[in-house]
Amino acid sequence: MKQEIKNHFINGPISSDFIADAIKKHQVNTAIGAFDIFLGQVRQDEIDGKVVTGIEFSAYEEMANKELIKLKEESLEKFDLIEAHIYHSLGSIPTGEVCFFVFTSSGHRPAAFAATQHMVNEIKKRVPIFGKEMLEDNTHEWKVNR
Amino acid sequence: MEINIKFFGKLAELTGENELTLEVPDETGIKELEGRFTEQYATWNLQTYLVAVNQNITEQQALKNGDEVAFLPPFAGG
Repeated sequence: MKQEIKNHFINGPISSDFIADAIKKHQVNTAIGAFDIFLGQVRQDEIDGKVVTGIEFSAYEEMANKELIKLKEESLEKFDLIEAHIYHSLGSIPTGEVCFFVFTSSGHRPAAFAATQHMVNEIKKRVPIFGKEMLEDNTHEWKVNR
Repeated sequence: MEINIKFFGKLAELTGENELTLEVPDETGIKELEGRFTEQYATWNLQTYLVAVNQNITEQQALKNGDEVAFLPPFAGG
C-alpha cells in the first residue's frame, strides 16, 4: 500500500497560536468530548556546569514521517480515538519554547489520556530525531533520550 | 554497485558529511561499510548507532545496488 508522506515537522518553535488553532479546528467535531495535549518544552538543563541555551533539532525526515504515520495508525486502532496529531520542531529552539506537540481527541477522556502517553513514549523511542544541546559557551552536547 | 549513505546528528558532525554515494564491490555489506568508516574516521568505532536500510531499522548485513543506508545516532525527539 502506497502512503502519502505527511509532514509532521515545523521549522522553529511551535507557537501558542498554532496550538490554539489546532484546538479551534477540532471544535466543529461535536463527537469529541475530550482533548488531551502533550507539549514538550526545551528545558534549561545544566551540563557539566554549563547552561543549555537551546536545542538544535534535525531528523531523518522521510523515515520519521513514515514512522509517525505508522504510530498514529497504530494508536487510532489501539485506543478509542477520534483524531491524533503529532508535530515536532526542527532547527534551533531556545529554552522555554515548545518543540513537541501531541494532540489527541476522543469521546471520553480515558482514551485520549492513554493514547497521548503512549504516543509520546513511542516517539521518543522510535522516531529518528536528533538534538544538539547548545551550551552557553558556544560548545554543544548531543542529546540522548533515556 | 552504488550505495547511498546518510549520516545524522553526531555522526554527520564526525564525518563532516550528511550524504554520500559510494561505488563499492557487489558483495559489500554493512560490516564492510563500517570497516571503511572505522579506518576513515578516528572515533567511528566508539559511536553508538542503529542502521536503517531503505528507511527500516535492520540488523541485516547484505546490501543491493541503490540501497539507502542511514547511520542513526541515539534519538532525542520530544
